[in-house]
Amino acid sequence: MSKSKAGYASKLKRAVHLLFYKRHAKPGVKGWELRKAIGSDYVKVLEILDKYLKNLDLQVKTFFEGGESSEKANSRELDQARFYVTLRGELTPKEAKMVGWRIDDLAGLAVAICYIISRNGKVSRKEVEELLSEKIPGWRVSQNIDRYIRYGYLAEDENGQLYLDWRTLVEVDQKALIDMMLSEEVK
Amino acid sequence: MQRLFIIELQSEWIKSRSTSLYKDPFLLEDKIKSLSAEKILEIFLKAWHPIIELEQITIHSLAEALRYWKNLPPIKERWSEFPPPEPRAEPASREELIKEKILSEKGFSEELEALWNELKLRARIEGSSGKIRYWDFIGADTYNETVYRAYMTSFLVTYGYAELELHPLEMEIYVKPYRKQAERRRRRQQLISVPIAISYEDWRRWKEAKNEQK
Repeated sequence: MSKSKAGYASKLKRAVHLLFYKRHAKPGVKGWELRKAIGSDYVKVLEILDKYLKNLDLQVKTFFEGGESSEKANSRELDQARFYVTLRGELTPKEAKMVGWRIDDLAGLAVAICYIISRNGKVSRKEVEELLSEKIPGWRVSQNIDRYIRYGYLAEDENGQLYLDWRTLVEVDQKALIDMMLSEEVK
Repeated sequence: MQRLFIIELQSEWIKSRSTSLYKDPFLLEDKIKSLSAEKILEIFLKAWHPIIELEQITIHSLAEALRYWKNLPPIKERWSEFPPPEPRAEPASREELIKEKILSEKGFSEELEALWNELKLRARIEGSSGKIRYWDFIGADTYNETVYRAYMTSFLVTYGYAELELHPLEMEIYVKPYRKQAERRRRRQQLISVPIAISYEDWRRWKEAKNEQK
């Protein structure tokens, strides 16, 4: 093995350790942390890692500050971005159960996300509760919204308005979700 | 001015509708309501790519923890950094003692004298032969007050302001005040202790009987 290959193998391992193991309250690693641990070529190392992970149906996802994705980000933007490993494909409903969510709780999350997106990203908690209580028992609705907030999918301000929080922005392809939802034919 | 405001609002409206994410909220709401939970889940799973994260102990975190433990001073040393404030002895005021129920508002001797005067008056009015039934004298509206009066009456007897008359056949106790404290000393009788139980049940029975009399 050449020196260069051995060096990249070592850097790949370090990148895997940093990205897979949760080190802070929130998952993910900041670009500057990766640069410090791996070196200035950390973006290249992540590209190689992404290719490896493709075979495992995983991907390295970059989330830029402010949520805007950028094809040609500069080094400052990359340093401030957060990097995650996420599922590349999709889970089956059977697999979703293994993640630790009940089917209707996950469906409730989908409804809340869709509804917030449809209202330009902000809606009162009461409205979401009313919508969810049509299909989920009333006593579980508030409990579920609190759970979505705790996990970082939704955020609530002091006026009782719900927003999409960091985890939704990272994990959910919002456009695909809305398009699929609208194109679904009701039987 | 109003026209400008309307144009601004229209501009915002057009901007919002021109974004790729804009969808008619009513149409979307209608879809959400009409689709089953299973169908919504199926759609969501196609757009959901959850973060992979592991939370478990690693060799690195164990080494960090051991280093921390090694450098952590013993709890005795850490606590000694913040010595508790030393208590200072200060004389308590009369008001504080009354508040703590160590002293009563009246002085003990004043209270004893007031009770003696009450006993003399009530023995004359309510009693016969200058004496009054013990329970009628100590009995009060509350159990606590009754116990307190019994306690003070014991001092009246001990200090020679009154005497107890025990009538075993009638199972009755009377309390008889002296006109002067000195009278008792002249009698030179042998002192005996008389234990009298003031239970809550006794007090309740006395109270009920008193209410019936009324």
